[in-house]
Amino acid sequence: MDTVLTINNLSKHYGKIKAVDELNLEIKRGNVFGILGPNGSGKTTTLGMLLDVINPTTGDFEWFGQKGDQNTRKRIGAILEHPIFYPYLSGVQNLKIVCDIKGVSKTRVPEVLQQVGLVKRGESKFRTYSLGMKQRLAIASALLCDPEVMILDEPTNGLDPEGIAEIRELIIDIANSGKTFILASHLLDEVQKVCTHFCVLQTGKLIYSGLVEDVGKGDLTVEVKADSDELQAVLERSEMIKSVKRELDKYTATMVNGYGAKDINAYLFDQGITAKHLMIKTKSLEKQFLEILHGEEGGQK
Amino acid sequence: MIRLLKIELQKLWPNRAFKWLSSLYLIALTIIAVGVMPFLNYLKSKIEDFDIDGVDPTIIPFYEFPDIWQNLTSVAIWFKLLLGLSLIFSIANEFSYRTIRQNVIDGLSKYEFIWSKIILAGFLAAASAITLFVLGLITGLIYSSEISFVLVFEDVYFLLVFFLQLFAFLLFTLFVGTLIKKSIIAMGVLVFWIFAVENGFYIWGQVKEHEWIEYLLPVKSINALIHNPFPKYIFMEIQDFVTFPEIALVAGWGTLFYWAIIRLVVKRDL
Repeated sequence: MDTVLTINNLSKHYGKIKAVDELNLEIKRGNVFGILGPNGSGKTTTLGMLLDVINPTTGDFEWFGQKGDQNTRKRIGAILEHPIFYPYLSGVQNLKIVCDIKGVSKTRVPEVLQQVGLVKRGESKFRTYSLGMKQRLAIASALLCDPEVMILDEPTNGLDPEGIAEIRELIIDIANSGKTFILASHLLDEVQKVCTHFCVLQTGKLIYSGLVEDVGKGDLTVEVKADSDELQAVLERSEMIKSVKRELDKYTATMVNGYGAKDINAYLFDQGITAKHLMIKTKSLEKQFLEILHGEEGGQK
Repeated sequence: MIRLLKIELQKLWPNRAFKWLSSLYLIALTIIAVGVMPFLNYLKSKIEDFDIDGVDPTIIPFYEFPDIWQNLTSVAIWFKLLLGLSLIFSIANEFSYRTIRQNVIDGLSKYEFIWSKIILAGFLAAASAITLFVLGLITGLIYSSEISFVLVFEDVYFLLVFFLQLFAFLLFTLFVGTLIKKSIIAMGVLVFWIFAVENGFYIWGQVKEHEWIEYLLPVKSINALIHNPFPKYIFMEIQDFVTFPEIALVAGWGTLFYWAIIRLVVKRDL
């Protein structure tokens, strides 16, 4: 698997503020890479430097194994923050300009409009578009050059639930076609649904990088409910349960390695308790993300 | 180069402000090049004893080869502000819409972006010079008493000088637009600079007899490249040629603005 992007010690300082601090990262072809981080953690600044609109203070990066310049950018489809187009031009006119910038045939314009479902409004002026349509036009524009890498920065920001679902469908569709994706977001659910890899930035520093499929790993937790006052005591007595936590009317048991929900069920039945609710809880990216952030904050203190 | 010009024209053509300003400019050129003599004739037909200091203005040979070229260019340059405003609009909008950022993300280098604007300035200046050439040719052929190849093309280099004037001025407007980034404010500053600041310094220089002040004022230097030819019709001495130091001065101003624009755009985060 070849490397699409290598970042070496990339930093951006605004006076004393270190917006991005000595960032190192590598992204391979075919990865769907999520960059997570709270607002102001340096996600957009990093992407801005990778796309040459922000001058790095120090460090460098390579696209496709060469120094990034306008020709490597022509192989990338990118949207930073909100969609930017000429408001007085129609969607089609805007896309034609991008075709000329990227050196792509204009026959691509109807194709990408079809792909994002904007054919009907292609001739309307950009300023008359709704936010969802603007976002879709931006994705269409990023798709024009049939990019090797797509970079989207908060693609669902400000959209209503229906719009979010639409854009997510679109991203999954495109990601399935095998493109490399870099997706900056603070919507963790989105990253977990779409991405293969993710990293976490905090105040400009890379504090975690790993696989999304590893997120669910680690200790298994099982949620238990039963009409018995002794439930807690019984659970705590068991050797296959590490710890028990009470949440309202249910108990969450963290299992010792190798044991599962089936074992709890059998054990409780032996003890004369019938569970009325038994559920394996997979750890969400959200939980992991918060753990990572808090771990880091704790570590600093 | 063609690619960059194509990109710029696609941005500009559908723009309403550009359409208005360029139409006005075109009308102004046409009136200067074609309309003055018919207008004088019209006045003459309406007013008895129509004359200026005892001279019937309709017999003044404004439109005769080869004088027509200096006459036309020295008047047409007054209307350069209309082109300048449309160019300011074009560059300042790129900053306020942030489309410059998206252009760079999409695959223009910052230099290419600046060059696309400079090529546009060159295109507008060349289009003006060519329009003026065609109009001048037509009018000249109508009103000249004598026509020969030598007479027609003898002073046609004034059109090249006119191109240089416009181009240098448009570089100045690009610089103002890049510096200020808000189209309306930039237009205001440009107009204020030309009419208030430069005239203020110019008059001050005249009063204090610091003639060199004029050369420190970019727009004045550009304007001064082609000297006013009209006093010759009341038998005064005029400079009916362009000197090398004057051209060098304007070229120097143009280079300075180019350098300043590059610095502003390349050093700045978009």
